[in-house]
Amino acid sequence: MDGEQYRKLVIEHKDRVHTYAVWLLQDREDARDIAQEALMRAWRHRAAIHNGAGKAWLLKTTYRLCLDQLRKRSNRPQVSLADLSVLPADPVLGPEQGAMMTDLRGIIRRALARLGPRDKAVILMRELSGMSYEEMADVLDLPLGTLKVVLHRARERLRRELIAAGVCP
Amino acid sequence: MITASGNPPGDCGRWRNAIQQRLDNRSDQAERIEIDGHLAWCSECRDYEESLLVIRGAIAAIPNIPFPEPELGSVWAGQRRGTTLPRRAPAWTGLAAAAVLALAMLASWNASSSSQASPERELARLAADARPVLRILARAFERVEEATVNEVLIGPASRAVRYIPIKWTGSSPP
Repeated sequence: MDGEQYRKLVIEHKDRVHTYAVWLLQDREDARDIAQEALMRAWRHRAAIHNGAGKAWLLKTTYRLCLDQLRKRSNRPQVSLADLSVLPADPVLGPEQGAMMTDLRGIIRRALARLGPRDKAVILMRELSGMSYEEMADVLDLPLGTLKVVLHRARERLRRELIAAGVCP
Repeated sequence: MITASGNPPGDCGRWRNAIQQRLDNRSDQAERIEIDGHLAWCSECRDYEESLLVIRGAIAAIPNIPFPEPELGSVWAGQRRGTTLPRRAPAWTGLAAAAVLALAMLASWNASSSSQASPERELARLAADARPVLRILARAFERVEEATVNEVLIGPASRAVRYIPIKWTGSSPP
């Protein structure tokens, strides 16, 4: 990967990497550091990143850095979920639909926050990043069969949360 | 035993797995037709599929949180330089630098001869001994964005320095 390819990779995925870290860590400050570190490691390890594998490499690195951070996190208070609710408004929806979507997003965010890191990671990778089972298995260092079970159970847990919130049938 | 949906218990477990596979584009045409056939009469599985679609739609609609520009600037700077600047100085760098300085000072003072050297000469000797340590400190601080001399001499490291005994060995007190 040359300099131009690296710049393109960063521009294309920086926000996704950052968003992923924010959701996993629920701390914007830590997420900024993690995202920066992941993007810089991509340059240092550019020889190991094959064409088309940049996104998976970045998310894998981000996930591992987030896990490390979660392990050594101190008693520092985390950012409240209220901070995560301040997201850009959807320009496509009208005010009424926008308000409904905001409520749903809030419920989803709270439900996601209650999942463990691995469950959160598979849900975000699948539903937010559209990654394949094989890519997710690579990121999480899991056999494909195990990954399917993990994803299935994570969806079940999230679904139970949303049923309890009256969102899902 | 038949459940309210008309399925034998446990059967919907298999279908739910199939519904997930179809949602993730892992099913072939024959499997998709089979699933449609089951959904036509199983309301529980229809509810299940709908709930997965609600989850997918809500999460997919979450917008990206923009990566801040200052941090992006650091990424580009790191690419140009080929190194990484830490956003915040690790706590141990200031303490490590202070420990090196304190040990060097202690070694210098304890090793000072019992000769009758004048205070001025003794101070000159100590300054010469301290120079290599100060160069190490300077290099460490070059890499640290926020650490300052005050962090080392006045911050938490200073408490440790205070407890290191310093004994004047000159002929007269300084």
